[in-house]
Amino acid sequence: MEGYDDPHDLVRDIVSSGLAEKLARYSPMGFTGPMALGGYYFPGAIKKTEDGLDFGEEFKNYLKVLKDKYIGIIMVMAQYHANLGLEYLGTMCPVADEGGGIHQLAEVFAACIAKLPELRTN
Amino acid sequence: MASELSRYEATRQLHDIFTPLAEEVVNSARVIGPRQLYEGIKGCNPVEVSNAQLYVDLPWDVFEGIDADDIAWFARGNPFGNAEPIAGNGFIERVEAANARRHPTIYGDVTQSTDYLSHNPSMNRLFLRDAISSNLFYRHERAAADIFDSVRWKQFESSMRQIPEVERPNIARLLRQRDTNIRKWDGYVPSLQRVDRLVYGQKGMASSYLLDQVLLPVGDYGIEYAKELSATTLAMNTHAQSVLLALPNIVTPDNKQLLTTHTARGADNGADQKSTVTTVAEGILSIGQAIAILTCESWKDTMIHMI
Repeated sequence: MEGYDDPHDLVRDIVSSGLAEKLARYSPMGFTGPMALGGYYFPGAIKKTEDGLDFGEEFKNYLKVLKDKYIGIIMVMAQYHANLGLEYLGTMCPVADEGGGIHQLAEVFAACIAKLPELRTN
Repeated sequence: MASELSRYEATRQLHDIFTPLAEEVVNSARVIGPRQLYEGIKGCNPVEVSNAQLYVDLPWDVFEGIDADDIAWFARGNPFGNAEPIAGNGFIERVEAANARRHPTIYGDVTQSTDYLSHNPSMNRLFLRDAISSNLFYRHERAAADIFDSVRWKQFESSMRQIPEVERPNIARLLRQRDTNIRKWDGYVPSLQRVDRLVYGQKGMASSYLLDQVLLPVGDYGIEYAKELSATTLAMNTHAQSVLLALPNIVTPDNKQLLTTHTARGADNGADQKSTVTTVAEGILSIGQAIAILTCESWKDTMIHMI
């Protein structure tokens, strides 16, 4: 199976497979940022399929557990702590759905980072 | 109060507000092209920071006086490879009590500054030490660091010297954020791994604005790729802020209430142009962070892992 010696190719396929917005859709609020800030990652998070790239099963299950817990927390908080003003805790990023802006932004991101090595040498 | 229905309805309405803003950023970025996009962060020079060196050991053993069997039991829940979850038996509470007795002033200050105990019954020894020591350090800064092990301190100081002095409080703020947030989830992360190195990038001129800086992991693809990710994230964010802040009337009488109650930045001080642009910029930051954590592991290594 073809590999990814060049990380820019991997970024391109992650974006074209929609994994950036999928992660925004499936993960709870306050997940991606602290993961990156803490230097954490999930081994085997990505797998190759006939249609491109997808999340590995273990990573999908992991995200499901987190998201279920998160939804439970915000629903309970909304029910019992109305005075805390926590309405802003949404169920997912509003532009991570079909037709949302994350995919386009990620495409620009991938195009720019692919161009960066060439820009640096010129 | 937001019911489940209104929460989903709010998401739909927010989609209608933020998608055109994202399209504005995308279209303008495509017009100017990558070269001009990176011009916005000219002078940005991301630096490597060691993950381990960002922590400073406590001047005492946090498990002093705790039964060795208890520590072994606690360590079994290590999120670095063991899936067995730990059910609370009061272990952390006993560790906390023991430390609070021995070091009432400093430890009391630390525990009041973080909510890790209430969220994290499965935190292992490393995480506990990390949480206590990093919070301790960043609350007491150099005064507390003076009493730490000198070799570790010198390593840390050497790492921090690479970062201009005016930017150091910013990186401390980022690290505080990761410490308080990541522990909400670590009990459910049996396979989580952690890189040794991070890359810290900031826009050319010194700024305390959170979105003018980014801290990303350095994975298998190396430091140069991590620096590219850092630079691209900063460039996209800089461009987005510049384009969207110049737009007229993003916040209108019709959407102000929704943005105030249903976006985190709007809820801070009420929705305005800047808070709404910041919400978009945080989304762009998340894209950079998502790509960073998904590309920490090279594809080749992933295949070996799967076999």
